[in-house]
Amino acid sequence: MEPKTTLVPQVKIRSYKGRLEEDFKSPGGPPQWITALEAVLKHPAQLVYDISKGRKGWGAYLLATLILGGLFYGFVMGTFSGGTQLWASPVKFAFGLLTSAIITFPSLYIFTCVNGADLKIQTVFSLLLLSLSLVVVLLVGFAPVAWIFSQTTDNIVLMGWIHLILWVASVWFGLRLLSAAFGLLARDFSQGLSAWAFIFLLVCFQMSAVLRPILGTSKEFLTDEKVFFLSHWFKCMGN
Amino acid sequence: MENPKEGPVAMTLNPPFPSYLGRLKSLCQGRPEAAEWLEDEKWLGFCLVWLFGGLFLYGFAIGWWRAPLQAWYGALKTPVLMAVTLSGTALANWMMAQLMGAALSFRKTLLIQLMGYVVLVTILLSLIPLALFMDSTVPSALGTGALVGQAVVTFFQVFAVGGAGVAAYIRLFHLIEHACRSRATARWILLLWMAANLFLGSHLSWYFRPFIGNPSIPVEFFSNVAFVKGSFLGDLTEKAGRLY
Repeated sequence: MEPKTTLVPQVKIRSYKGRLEEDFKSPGGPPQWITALEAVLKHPAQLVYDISKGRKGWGAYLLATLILGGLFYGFVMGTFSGGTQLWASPVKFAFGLLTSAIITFPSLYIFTCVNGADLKIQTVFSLLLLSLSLVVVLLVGFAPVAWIFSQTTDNIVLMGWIHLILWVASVWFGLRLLSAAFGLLARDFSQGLSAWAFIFLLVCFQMSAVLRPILGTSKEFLTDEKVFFLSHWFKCMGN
Repeated sequence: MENPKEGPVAMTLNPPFPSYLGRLKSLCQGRPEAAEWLEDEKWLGFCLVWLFGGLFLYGFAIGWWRAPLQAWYGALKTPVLMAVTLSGTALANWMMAQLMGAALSFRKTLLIQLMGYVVLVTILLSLIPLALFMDSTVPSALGTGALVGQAVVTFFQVFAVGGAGVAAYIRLFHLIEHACRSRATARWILLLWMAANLFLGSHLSWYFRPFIGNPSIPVEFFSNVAFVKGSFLGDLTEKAGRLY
């Protein structure tokens, strides 16, 4: 009897967490920006390892990635209206992202404690920077898509929805990394992180209303009127 | 330098404050050694200071949206609200624990719940930046859309305090289990205590209102219709309608 042969090679599908666990080792070499950028996408577990060991240097590169990536994506957002938005939108986007992270960081640290994890405050902050760096790197990857839409439509509501979807998708990947990182270092943090993710998104959405206009145009850099982001969205869609 | 009679003399002083912060972290993490600290009077004193100080700050953040004066009123009333809720549910919670078969003294019941409130306050303290951000960015009490702003701040506080309360009580589970020596009993006690505190706490917050403040009326320490009419759930339903 002839042995059976398979036409399709057997490929072991590893889970995301499994892949990170296999990659949980030091990247080796001194921290460099190029290494950081590559590691954020391909080998985030290696950065998590170095962060957990207290190795200095990665934080500065992650912060720089966050700021520069935020400025770039904000610039792409600003190309919809052009003019002053070409510099106002990048400043607002990067500032809003950083401020949202700072506002929500204390709750992230306390939630990790309540979840039972024994992590230093510097470690949690570095992990947050890592996950937000991934968010920004993904947004930079989505930027051509956003730019094409911004050049081919003048519908601000449609552009708002596109940026919202891209933002939520990127944040989802960032939070997945954050959750996996906590799982590597301490213990699973799914429920508490879901609550924190809700808080983070709430702050980001409200921040977008505070810093408006980001897509549209205005004679002033910021508007005086205070609105709740849901009211503002419904009002824009109604118009 | 060793003292032959008293043993080694510490070359460096160990101030108690950092170690109590470490204990606080361990309490939030649900470490089992937290059960041993319930008999430490100094630790209990620290917990009371943390509790009342933290609630003072959080009450201030709650009322900031309406006006600075409302913030001070909220800062004074919030610790009182928590104290009344804790003492109001203490007897009922002790009796429910007895009915569930847990051999818990009244003092131990009270102390375990106090630890729960400590975790609650720690979570709320971490939410103060968020509370102040919402107070500063939603429609103000003096401008157009004030009722929408009030609704947003109210819902935020309801979810923040309610969520923190649930998380804190879940964190208490190991303390209750240690005291009861039974996981099933501890689970029931946790649910009953949580329900009692949520029920009484929410209603007392309605009775002692305003904490956030009403933009339609001047700032006041107690509402002139407090203690008289309405309910927490009824008010929440009315505010939900404003968001749309």
